[in-house]
Amino acid sequence: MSYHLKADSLSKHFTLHMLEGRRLRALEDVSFAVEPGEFLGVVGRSGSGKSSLLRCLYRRYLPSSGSVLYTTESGPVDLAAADERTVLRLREGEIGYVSQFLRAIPRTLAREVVAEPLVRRGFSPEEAAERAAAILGSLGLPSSLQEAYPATMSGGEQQRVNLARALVSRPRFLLLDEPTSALDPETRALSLDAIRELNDAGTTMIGIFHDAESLSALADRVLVLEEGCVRWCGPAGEAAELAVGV
Amino acid sequence: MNGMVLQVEGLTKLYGRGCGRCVASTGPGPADNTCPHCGTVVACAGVSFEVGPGEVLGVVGESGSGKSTVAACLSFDTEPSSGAARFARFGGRDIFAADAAERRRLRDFDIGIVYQTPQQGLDLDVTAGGNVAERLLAAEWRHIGGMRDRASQLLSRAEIPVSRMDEAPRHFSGGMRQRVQLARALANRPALLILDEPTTGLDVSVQARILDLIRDIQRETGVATVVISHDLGVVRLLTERALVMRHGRVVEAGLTDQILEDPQHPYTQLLVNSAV
Ligand SMILES: Nc1ncnc2c1ncn2[C@@H]1O[C@H](COP(=O)(O)OP(=O)(O)OP(=O)(O)O)[C@@H](O)[C@H]1O
Ligand SMILES: [Mg+2]
Ligand SMILES: [Zn+2]
Repeated sequence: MSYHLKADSLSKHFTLHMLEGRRLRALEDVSFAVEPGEFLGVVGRSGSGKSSLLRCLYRRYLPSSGSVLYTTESGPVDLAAADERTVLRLREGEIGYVSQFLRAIPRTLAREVVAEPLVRRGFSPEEAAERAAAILGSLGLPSSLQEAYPATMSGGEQQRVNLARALVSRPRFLLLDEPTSALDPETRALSLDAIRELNDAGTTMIGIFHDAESLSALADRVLVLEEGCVRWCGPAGEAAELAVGV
Repeated sequence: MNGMVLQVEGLTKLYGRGCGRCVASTGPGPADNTCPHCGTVVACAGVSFEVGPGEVLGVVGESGSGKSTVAACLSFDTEPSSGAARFARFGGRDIFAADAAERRRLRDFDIGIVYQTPQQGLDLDVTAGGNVAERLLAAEWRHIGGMRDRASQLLSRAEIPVSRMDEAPRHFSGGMRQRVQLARALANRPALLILDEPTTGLDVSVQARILDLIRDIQRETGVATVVISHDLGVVRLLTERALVMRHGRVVEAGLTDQILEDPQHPYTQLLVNSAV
C-alpha cells in the first residue's frame, strides 16, 4: 500500500549526562504507516511518548534507531537520517508542526508571526498579512489581538496563533501536538473545523488529542502508545473504548 | 563547491611551538586545550562546517572554547596552523592560501565582520560616516558625494540617525557602536558576514533591538552568515543550524532546535540546562 509516512522500529532513548548518565526510553520499536490524506490520532497516558514521537518525526529529537520514510514528490526520504538541509527544506516546504507549547518569535506581532512562513515562500507582505488575518479570524482571534505580541497572550490565544502559523501555508503533512488543549468548547470547535478543512483538502495529519471528542471528530485511525511502545493501532471507531480515560 | 558559499575543513590553530602530540593530548577528553607536554594552546582543531547561500550558522560554546579563533582565522586576523576554507567568491579556492593582495581584496570586498568590541572594528575617533566611507574607499569608490549617500543609506538602515553621521562613535552608546560596525561590515555587499558576539555586554533591551536588526538585514540581503555567541538565546533567534564547541573542538553539530531540545553531548546538555 502507498504511504505518506512510514515509521519502522523507531526508538528514542535519552542519556541524561547530568544525572549520572541515566538512560530513559521514550520510544521503543515503534512502527506504523500513514496513507496520503489520512488522519492518524495518537493517544496514551501522560509520559507515554506521544510528544517524543512527533518530535522525532519533525527531527526536533534525533531518533536513536529505526527509520521514518517520508514520501516526497521526488521519492522517499528517511527523516531519521536525512541531513539538516533536507530536513529544513521539508519543514519549509511541506511538513508543518504545531507544538504543545508556543515559543513565539519575540517582539513580533501575532499577525506577522502567522504571515512569516508565507513571506518566506515568496508571498508579498500584503498578501501574507491578508491571509494571516483571515485564518486568525477564522480561529476566533479578534483583530485587536492580531496586532499584539503573543508573549503577552493567554494560553488559548497563543495556541491559536501557533495553529494558524502552521495552517496558513497549507502543508502537505501536518503534526499536531494537543493543538486545542487550552481552548474553550467554542473556540475549540473553530480550530477543529479549520484542521478538518485542511485534512479534507488532502493534507496528511498525525495528531495528539487528549479528549475523545476531538479525536473522534478528526481521526481515521488511532495509535495507542503505552510506555513508549505501540499498544494498539486500528480504525478510530474501534479505538473508542481504548481512548477513554487517557 | 556544491552551491556552498563557504566550506571550512579541518581548521586548526595552535598558539605555541607545538610538539606533535598537542592535538591528541587536548580537547573534550582531557578537558583542556593546553598541551601537557609542551604548553601549546590548541585554540581550535579539526573544525569543519559549511555555509550555504542565505544560511545563518550558529557557533556556541563557553569563553575559551575556540569560537573567536575560528572568526579570527576567517577574517585574516590570525594565521591558521592548518586547514582550509574554500570560498565561492574566491573561485572556490582556499582563502588561507591567498597572497597578501588577494587577502586585502577579500577583506575589502567579500567578508564582512562585526567584532564583540567596537574598538576592534571601528576607529572611535573618526566620524560614523567616515568609518563606513573608509570601507567604500577600500573598495575603490572615488566619488565623494556618492560615497556619502551610500554611507548615510547604510547607517540609516542600521538605525543610526543621519543627524549623527558626523559624530565619532566614541560618543555613542555600546548599541550604537555595534550598529555602526554592522553598517561598515555590510558596506561592500559581502558574500559572507561574520558576527563575533555582536550583542555581548549590551543591556538586554539594546541587545534585543540589535538582534532584530541583524535578523531583518540578513533576510533582506540573504548574506551567508556565521554568528558566534555563548548565548543560546541569540543562536535560537538567529540560526537554523549550529555547532557547539568545547576545548577547541566541535562536540556537536545539527539543527538548532534539535540541539536545544535534544542535546546529545554532555557539555551541550550542561549548556542547555544552565540557561536561565
Ligand atoms: N528532551 C528530553 N530529555 C529527556 N527526557 C525526555 C525529553 N523529552 C521527553 N523525555 C521523557 O520521555 C518520556 C516521554 O515524554 P513525552 O513528552 O513524549 O510524553 P507525552 O506522551 O507527550 O506526555 P503528555 O501527555 O504529558 O504530553 C517522558 O518520560 C519524558 O520525561
Ligand atoms: Mg506531550
Ligand atoms: Zn604539545
